[in-house]
This record gives sequence, structure tokens and C-alpha cells, in this order.
Amino acid sequence: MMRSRFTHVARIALLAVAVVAQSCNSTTAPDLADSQITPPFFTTQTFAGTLTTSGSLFYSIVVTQRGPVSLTLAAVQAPGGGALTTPVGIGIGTPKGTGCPRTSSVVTPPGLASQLTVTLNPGTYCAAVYDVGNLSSAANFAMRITYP
Amino acid sequence: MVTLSGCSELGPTASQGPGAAAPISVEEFKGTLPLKGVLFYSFSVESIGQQTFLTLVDARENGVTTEALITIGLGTPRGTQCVATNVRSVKSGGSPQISGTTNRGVHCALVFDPGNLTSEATFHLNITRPK
Repeated sequence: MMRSRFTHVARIALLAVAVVAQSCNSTTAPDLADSQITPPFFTTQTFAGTLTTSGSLFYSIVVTQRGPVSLTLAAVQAPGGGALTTPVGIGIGTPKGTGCPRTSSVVTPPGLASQLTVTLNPGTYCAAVYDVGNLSSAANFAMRITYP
Repeated sequence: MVTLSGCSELGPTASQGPGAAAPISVEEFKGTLPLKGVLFYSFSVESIGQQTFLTLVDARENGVTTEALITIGLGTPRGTQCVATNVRSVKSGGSPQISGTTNRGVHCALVFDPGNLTSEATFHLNITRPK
């Protein structure tokens, strides 16, 4: 009689453990198929123009999904065509009034690799190029803007 | 009359009924428009589905109010421009000349000389928009 009752209790305990174990199994990491992360599609645009001494120019873009926005100041040239290594300012902000107030910026010479990258939410932003006082005369520039 | 209201951890809240107007803001866009030139002004809107109004309050050539038609428009900044979806050529006056729905986001108002000016003109455009 005692043995029979013990066996019954033991069976219930084992069943409980099995149920708990199954519950734990159900909370393992989700299958790969559950992932809804979509890799962003990037757009690249070239902003080129002539920057005057102490001047500032900007280009507006629309970011459609959260992701990295990169600026690459690819070239600065004298009006005659000679390449310059003069550092100028580049930055990212939101168009406001007649300008582009910058929230991130860097002063950099032109180069092949991106000089400024920030992660932005969807929305309208502006990429600016500005002279910090280094230009002695107007200069042509080309900047690549890559955004999702 | 029943008014819906509630409380959150941030304090009491009250529902806005349909058609409730968002607070408005008036921005003044002033400048000098070159012959056949175009200038624009960007602004941000936080509310949804409210109207923005443009009024060319004043335009002067050589200090004298001009009778020339000047184009004003409402749009969104793209690239180096303001891409307008709603434009109209107007003389300066006191009442709104353009209205358009502006949803949450960045918008722009432009002023453009289509070739009617005989000299550069100073202008004053009022942008009445939801906050």
C-alpha cells in the first residue's frame, strides 16, 4: 500500500518535471525563419558644386529606413582643375529655414573612404559642405552621399 | 455630453475630438529674389493632416511695391531644390494665396521669379503652419 502510494507520487513528480522541461524547450531561441530583419537598400547620390569662401551648401535626402548615412568628400578642386587637399567641413542635419543646421559634422580633406557616418531614423535630412576658413578662393567639390 | 479622459503615469490626459486644430506657428521668409531666381525655406511639421498657408505679404522692386506676378509654392526639399507640388503666381496681398495639407515631416516654401521682374525684388512671405 505504502509502495503503491509512493509510486503514484513519483509518477506525478516525473510528469511535472517532463511538463516543465517541455515548457523550457518551448522557450528556446526562435527559428531563423522567424527573423524579420530586412537588409537595407542603399542609395548613393553625388552632390557637386562650387563652394565660395566662408560659404555653405546643402543637399536634401529622404532616408526611408533606419540605417547608416555616409558622407564621402571625394574631391576638392581649384576652379582651374587642380586637385586640392584643403580641409573643408561636411555635416548632416535637418533642413530648416534657408539652411541646414548640422547635428554631426567633421572637418576633413578629400579622400576615398567615407569621413562621416551616422545612423538615422526615416525622415528628411540634409548633407552640407561648408568652408571653415581654409579656402582662399572658390573651389569645386564632389561629395558622395549614401543612405538607406 | 460625455468627455473621454484618462490618466497615465505621465498625468491626466484628455482626448482631442475630431477636427481639433493643432497649434499654429507663423514663420516669416524674407529675402531678395534675383531676376529669374528661386529661393526656398524649410520647416518641420509634427502634426498630421493640417493645413499650411502661404501669403506673399510684400514684394518690392527698387523699394516700390511691384505689380509683377511672382510664383510661390509649397513642397518638400529634395537635392538642392524645393520640389513644389502646389504652386501659384501671385501679386503681394494680405490674404493666403496657397493652402495645402502638410503631414508630419519636413516641407518647404519657395519663391520664384518666372521672368516677370525687371530688377531684383525684396519679398516677405508668411508661412502659417501647424506645429
